[in-house]
Amino acid sequence: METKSGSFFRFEKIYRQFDTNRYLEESAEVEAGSILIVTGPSGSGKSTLLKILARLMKPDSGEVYWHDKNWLAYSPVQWRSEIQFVSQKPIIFPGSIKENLMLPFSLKNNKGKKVNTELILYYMDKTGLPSQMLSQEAKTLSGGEAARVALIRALITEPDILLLDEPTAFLDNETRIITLETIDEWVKEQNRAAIIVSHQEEDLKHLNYQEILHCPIRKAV
Amino acid sequence: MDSGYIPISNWQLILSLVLVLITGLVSMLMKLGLFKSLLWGTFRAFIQLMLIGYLLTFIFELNNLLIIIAIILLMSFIASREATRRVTKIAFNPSISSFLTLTASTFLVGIIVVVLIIAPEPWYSARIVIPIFGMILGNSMNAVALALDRMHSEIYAHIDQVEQMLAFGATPWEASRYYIRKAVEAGMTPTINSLMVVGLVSLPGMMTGQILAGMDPSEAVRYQFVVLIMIAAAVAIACLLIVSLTYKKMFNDDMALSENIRNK
Repeated sequence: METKSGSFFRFEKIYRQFDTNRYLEESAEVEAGSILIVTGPSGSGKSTLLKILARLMKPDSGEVYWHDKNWLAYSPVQWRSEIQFVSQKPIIFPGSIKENLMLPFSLKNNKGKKVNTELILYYMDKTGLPSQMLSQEAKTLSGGEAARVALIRALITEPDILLLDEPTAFLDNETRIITLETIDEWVKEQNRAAIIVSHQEEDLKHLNYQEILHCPIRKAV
Repeated sequence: MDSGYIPISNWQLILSLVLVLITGLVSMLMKLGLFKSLLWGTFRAFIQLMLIGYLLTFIFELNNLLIIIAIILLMSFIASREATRRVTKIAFNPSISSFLTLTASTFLVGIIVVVLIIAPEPWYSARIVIPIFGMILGNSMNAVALALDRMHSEIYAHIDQVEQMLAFGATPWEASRYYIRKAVEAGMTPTINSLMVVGLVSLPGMMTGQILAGMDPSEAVRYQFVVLIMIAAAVAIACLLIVSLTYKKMFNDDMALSENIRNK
């Protein structure tokens, strides 16, 4: 089954039809310690591609390999906690910011993951969220604050791969840059990688990406 | 004689038609256009009740266990059809699950009540079993409809949250349990509330019937109490079963949200 050995994460001919006559069909690879940027016009299925890679949606066909093992060899639950998708619209749950950050650790599949308070404080400080905010009700957050909380929530569970859908969509210029730098720094450590959907060229300046995958709008005839 | 059952004779039955005339007069005076429906409704009610009266008399005399079971299964089937007919905006077909739910909860609670508490001779006495099981079914049917409807609308309204939980590595149960809990609560609330006001706001139909049939009110309330807690137990089991049997239908075999839910 393996066509190529030694690749960290790759997807081959991920095909899916959507919106009646459009479809996406993409292949790419990302090495450990690097970032793959996915660009393209809106409606090209970039978000759908990320959800497929996270196994939140099924492709019509195509395969994904992680550590050269087919994705179906992993349980979907384990896959999703190690290859974590963060949606463009930050999803916040009832309760405080702290409760929001702790939520993933309450799951059976994440029992082995330990809450690292220092790491939480580090990322909050780095992305411009004061630590006093931890006890604040999450629903009072602005869009930009919520986006950073959602990103930190993913970072602290220490997945292997982050799938980020427009991580800077809700951010102002200043927090945008520090957030991108945070992601960039996160990827460099250990065996990690990120696939980031972005159509802001500005973003690319702040990321040490390996490759750009351009998704055109494909229409079925 | 003050207590005791007073039968209604044929004459008295015909006399009761005076009441239909009153209803008809209101309809005519107010030009409601309900007169035809009223006559047809009265006729149907009369025929249906007479038929069921004879049928029940027949069944009670036969008192055959297999026939009783067949009747209860038929009642469960009709109740499950009714429960799912009321739940329209749903992305999967819940008919089989609601039939299983209603049958299981009705038999479980019904058998406890009939065999252990009322203990008639023989234990499957149709005169006891059919009305008791019928009351359980009527209430569980409403609860199943409420719980199904609520589960679907809660998950649909929080689809982003459910998907985010899945993205954290949650199982379908972990991702939706908060909303499933709300659905069970919605199904059980009317029954729990009815426990609070019974006897204060209304006298339940069964108790009223027993009092009219000559039973001492202090005896009738004992029956009513058993019936109320029996209904509460059956409703709780039904709500739990229906959500357990159906929540997975909102997810696919890869433990992600099903396309039906996403496209609703």
